[in-house]
Amino acid sequence: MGTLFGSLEVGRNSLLAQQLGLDVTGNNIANVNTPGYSRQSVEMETSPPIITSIGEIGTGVDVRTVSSVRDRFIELRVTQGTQDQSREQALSDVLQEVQSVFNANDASLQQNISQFYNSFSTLATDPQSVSFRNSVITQATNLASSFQSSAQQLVDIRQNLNQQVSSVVDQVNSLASSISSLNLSIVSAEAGGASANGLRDQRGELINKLSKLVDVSYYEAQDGTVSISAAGGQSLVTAGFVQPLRAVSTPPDGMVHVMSGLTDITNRVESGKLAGLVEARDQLIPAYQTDLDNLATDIITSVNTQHHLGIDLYGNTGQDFFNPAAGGTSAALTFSLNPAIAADGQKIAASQTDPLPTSPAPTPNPGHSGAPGDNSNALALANLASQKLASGGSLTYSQAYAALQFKVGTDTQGALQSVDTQTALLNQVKNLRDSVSGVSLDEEAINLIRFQKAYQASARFISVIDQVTSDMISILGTTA
Amino acid sequence: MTRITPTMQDRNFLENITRAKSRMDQAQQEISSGKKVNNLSDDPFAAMRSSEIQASTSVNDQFLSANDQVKSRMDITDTALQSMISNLDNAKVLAAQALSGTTTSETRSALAEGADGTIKQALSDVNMQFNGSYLFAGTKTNAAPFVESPAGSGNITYNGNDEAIYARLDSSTVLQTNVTGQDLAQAAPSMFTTLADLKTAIQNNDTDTIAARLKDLESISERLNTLDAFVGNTTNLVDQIHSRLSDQNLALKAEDSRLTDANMVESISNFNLAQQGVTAALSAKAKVQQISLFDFLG
Repeated sequence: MGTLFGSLEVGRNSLLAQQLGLDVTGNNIANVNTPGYSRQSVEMETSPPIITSIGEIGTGVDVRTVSSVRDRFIELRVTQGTQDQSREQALSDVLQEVQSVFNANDASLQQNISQFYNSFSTLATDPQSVSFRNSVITQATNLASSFQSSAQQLVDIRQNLNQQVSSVVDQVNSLASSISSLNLSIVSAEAGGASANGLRDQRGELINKLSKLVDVSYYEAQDGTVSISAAGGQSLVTAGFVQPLRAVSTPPDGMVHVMSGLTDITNRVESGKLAGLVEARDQLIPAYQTDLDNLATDIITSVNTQHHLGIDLYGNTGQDFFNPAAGGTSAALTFSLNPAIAADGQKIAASQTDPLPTSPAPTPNPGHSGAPGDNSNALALANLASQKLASGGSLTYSQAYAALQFKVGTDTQGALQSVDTQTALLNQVKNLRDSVSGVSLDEEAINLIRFQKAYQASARFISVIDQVTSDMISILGTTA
Repeated sequence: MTRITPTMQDRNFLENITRAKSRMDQAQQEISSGKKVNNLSDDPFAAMRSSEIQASTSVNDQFLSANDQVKSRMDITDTALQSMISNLDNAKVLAAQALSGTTTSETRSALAEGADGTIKQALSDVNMQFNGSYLFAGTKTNAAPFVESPAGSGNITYNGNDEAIYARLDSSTVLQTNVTGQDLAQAAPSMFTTLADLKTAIQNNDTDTIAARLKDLESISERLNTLDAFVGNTTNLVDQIHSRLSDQNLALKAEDSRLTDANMVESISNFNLAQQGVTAALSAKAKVQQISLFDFLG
């Protein structure tokens, strides 16, 4: 049989337990909007009973632990989903910027290409005309600056991506070092056996942030520390140690490579923002640049070749119309008019000394002496526009440019759709995690009532025991 | 049963409202720009086709304006040829009068004067210019093709060449657009030699020569008529191609419009639908947000 003071003890334990329940509920409510917070719950159990001859007598309640409610497997899926979504997001952000370079409008490269060839066609109607010759030079200059500006924009976007890669590497390192210090804090906090829920939540959120940047995989060791590896197995965090990533500028183009120790992991990163940035920087944009350069080279070469076949108004053989692209440089970026021609329209070789090479050959065709009124080279130059001279002879110039626009368009469209899909998937997994770990206010309201009522009842119990004890003491007092 | 948390509700709401607003934004962009393809990614195929069409119409526009030039050139050439033909008719009348057998030295001298006038007229016709370049000079269009050399000698020489000037009327048609002085006047019998001989024969009352030159004038007239027919055919062809190119441009523009222009009725109705969706979602959210167990607790 228990004692009255024993009963007071039962009441006291209950009060403390319910109070703790209220505290935890309050904490849950307070953190309802905290990212990465997992709801906590008080795990109560009956305290060890007293065994007497008439059986066990309960001694009230004990609090075993305050635990966080989480599902590690769902959290892994959130990490994975975050990585995939961040990669697509980075790609689509870049591609939307890239497509603005190629968007169709009245001042597009496509317009400049046709206007350039049209200016030769106009010149053919009156090859002696000074104003028509000047118009060829104006259109050629527009074409050149259009190529240059498109190419320069791509270079700028790529440079910007390069800076972002460096900045992501810095962020990864900073997060990794925070995680490693949390690892140590968790170990010391949990040395007494309790679970360091808050620290773990913080660490989980940092891992989540890390997974936005780079593909990470992690596991939790027995001692409560997590080890994180990035980019397919390169150790990033091991307990309290960090193996930082390094951004190393590499020749020939000075693009930053990401190193882990001595290993170049630039191309091993498969997801996260870094993967998207690297893919856009090293694959997509260079592919567009190559296409643009090829188009520029084809135009420069064919115009120059044809121009060499002509005779200018001074009776001289045509010189290079455009400056040929030097090896190793971007043809689009260095697209420019031969300054000698730019300065003197008379040097445009509009006439020819040999028969008109187009078919069907009109009759009679007595040949050409290169006289000023002869327009055959201007016609031939204008006709380059409708010949399949681009993409290895399969497309006309305007088709080749349209094909490039199509490529950029489909890539961007694909990336935008992927972002949509990945975002929806990620939200679903996050919802799944929230349904396990998130704070439900209705649930907390019910908890609040439960603990409040239990607290009130315990207090009432103590008050009754107190009354009983007082009665007992007063009885003893009168007797004595 | 799935636990529903406020974060989940907010996240779902945010996702849905973002989607609805982006639909609304898309529709609004369509309405304000009048285009349903504003970025390449909106419809890459339509954007590509539209870009090709833009290039094709630009090339066709150029052909159209070149055609106008060719047509003007042909019209001027026709005018010059007609003038030459009627000038030759005048010369034939003079020759016929000189052959009538009733001429006196006075009338012969007047007829010779007339023959000299036809030479001058012919010289003016064959040196006709179009936009500052000589029509009948072959490709040496920068200098008068027929000159009296030496001056006052009555001897007309041809300084042009017999080269053709071509024009591209559309992507597949290349045409000669000039009549050279060679074909016009130099081919045998030469126009100027014939006229000069005629003048001399009239002065000398050399009826045999006058009769021979009259015959030559007939054959020159015939030649000029043939050339004029060529000019007429070319003009017709230019007209045909012009109307074909215009039709083609209309068709291309229609295709472009079909591919890239917004259907206003559809866009506006999409906009209204999206707007209603957004409004409904917002108001539902505002109401749901108010419901919590806490509201019912004393």
